[in-house]
Amino acid sequence: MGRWPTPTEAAAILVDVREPRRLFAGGPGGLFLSTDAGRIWQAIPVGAARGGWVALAQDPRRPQNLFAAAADGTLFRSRDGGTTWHPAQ
Amino acid sequence: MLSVALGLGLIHARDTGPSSAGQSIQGPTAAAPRSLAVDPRDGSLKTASLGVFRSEDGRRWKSIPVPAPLAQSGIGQVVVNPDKPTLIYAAGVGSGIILSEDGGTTWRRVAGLPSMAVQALAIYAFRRETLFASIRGRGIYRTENGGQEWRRMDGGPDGKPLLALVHSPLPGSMNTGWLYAGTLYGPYVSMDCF
Repeated sequence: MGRWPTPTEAAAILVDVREPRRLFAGGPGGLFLSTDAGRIWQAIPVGAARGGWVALAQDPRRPQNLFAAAADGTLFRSRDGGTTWHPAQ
Repeated sequence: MLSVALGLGLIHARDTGPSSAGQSIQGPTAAAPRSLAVDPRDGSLKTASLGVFRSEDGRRWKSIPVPAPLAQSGIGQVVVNPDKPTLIYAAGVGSGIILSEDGGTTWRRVAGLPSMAVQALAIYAFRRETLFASIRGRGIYRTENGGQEWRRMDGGPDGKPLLALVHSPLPGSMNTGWLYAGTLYGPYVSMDCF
């Protein structure tokens, strides 16, 4: 298996309902994507989340819509399946 | 259960950089959210953050009342059944699991677990009556009938406290999918998910 790319926790994990080998995981060390079921992780340049990323969710009927919440309550949204992220508004 | 660490340790060369999006959208309470779920009917969000909250836009949050003693003892998890979105589970350490079958209007407690210390809760990827609950110090429990009965399945990855659980439909040797667990030491996976 690959390496979890940060010495900090994985507080949130999301399995992409469209392609279950795609995983998103987040924690104090950042938000990460794996396209091989968790062997290799790469950082997603979402931005700094105060306290780290703590929750992830996907709209099951509109699976291109993803959400990531930070410990300070900041909520980011992706409308393209996780490629780009913006503050929810 | 075979649990495999999905890597530990080393800093990745492409660690996240500074924020490129500066606007901060605050959540429903001063407490950190621990869980997010999307209602497939309208794309609205539910979060657990010392209670259960609903938002249509991620900015304005409306409390979904839960029995007061449970909210005070900490709701940290919320799960919406994707096939029946009015069925909502909420859980937390100190709260056990409660469920609502009417979209959050009324709640009842789920019995049968060995303690109220529910660290994480996950719903099966396609068999929606099956859920997994991580109980602090006790292991991972499974129900196959929507919470009526629970059975201890495993101690979890090396007995580590769990922060998150998620079920995957990826095929395993027992055709039961995979179970991912978020821990203080990174993600773990069981590929023969009981």
